[in-house]
Amino acid sequence: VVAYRIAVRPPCIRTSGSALTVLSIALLLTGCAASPQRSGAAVAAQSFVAALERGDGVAACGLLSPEAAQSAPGATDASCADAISSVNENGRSATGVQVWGSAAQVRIGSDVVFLQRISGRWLVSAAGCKQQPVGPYQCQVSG
Amino acid sequence: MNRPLRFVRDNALTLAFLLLLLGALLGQSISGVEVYNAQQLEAGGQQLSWAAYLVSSGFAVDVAENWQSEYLQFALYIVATVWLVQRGASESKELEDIGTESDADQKVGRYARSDSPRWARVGGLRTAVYGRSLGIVMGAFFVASLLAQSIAGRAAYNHDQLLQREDPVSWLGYAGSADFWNRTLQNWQSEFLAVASMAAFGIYLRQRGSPESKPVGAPHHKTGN
Repeated sequence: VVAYRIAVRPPCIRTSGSALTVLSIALLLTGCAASPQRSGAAVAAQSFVAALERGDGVAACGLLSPEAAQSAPGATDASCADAISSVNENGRSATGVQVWGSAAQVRIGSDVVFLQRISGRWLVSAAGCKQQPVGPYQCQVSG
Repeated sequence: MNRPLRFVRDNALTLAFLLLLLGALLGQSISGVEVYNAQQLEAGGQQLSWAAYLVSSGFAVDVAENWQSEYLQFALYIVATVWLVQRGASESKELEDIGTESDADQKVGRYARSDSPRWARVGGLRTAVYGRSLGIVMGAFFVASLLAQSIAGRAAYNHDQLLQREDPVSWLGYAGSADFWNRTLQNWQSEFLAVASMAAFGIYLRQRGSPESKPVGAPHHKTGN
């Protein structure tokens, strides 16, 4: 059993009163999104990678956004569950989570997973992503 | 005339423009959410309700980028017209008055009248600050709006970055980005044009009854109104 550890930025804190405005600006400057969103995105990415690790393609596909699930087989006739098994997610721990609005990025080892919040649920929109010298990440699955 | 009506008449300029502001913000938010949702549909992002769009970074940056440029325009105009004049312009002061003028002209310190504001009478730092308070406050609103634009703009920009499978940027990274400066400068250029137009048009054109214009019969060479 692989233990997935989520290493994120310092936790956001809650407060009230006159310091709220100043704190809001400070949080925005540091890119600190609300904790539930960050942990929700991280948990979804964790669950997706864990499903891949144990070879559970059906579970992994269930965590993909509709567009990503549709694009997973590519030009082949394979099902999403079969096709998704070829995606490599070699990380063992999440090393960073960024949430901006309804989109998120979770770093797992050297890999990157992109997520979108759809109908209140975080779903993987791109996985097996590798950084390129210039331009967008190249992803094995991207919807 | 009863009190409420008198209040409205006495403050009509401020009240009318505050109402126009609310109406324009409402229109901007309604059209903005439609544009936003159309873009999200193409990018595969989440659709927003009108209420959610009102508190979104996308709406905030669109509002803040216009606010900062307006406050910059007025702050600059207020301060620049202390030293810069335009012969014949209604908005300019007389050419011999360039500068911060004398205490007697400005009715401060011992030249203050009995009904002058207290900080204009007391002298020292308070009078110096009060004598620049309009520019200071407008400048502060400009800086605050610019900061808000950079914060909200970064959030909106990073959301788009993630949808395009690219890394988010830091606040400093965004403050130096083409997106930030393109939004900023396209607003600034229009404000500078408006100020230059106002200064120049006021030499030859008139608006009867407006304090922003010279009297209709005033000669073109008359500076100020």
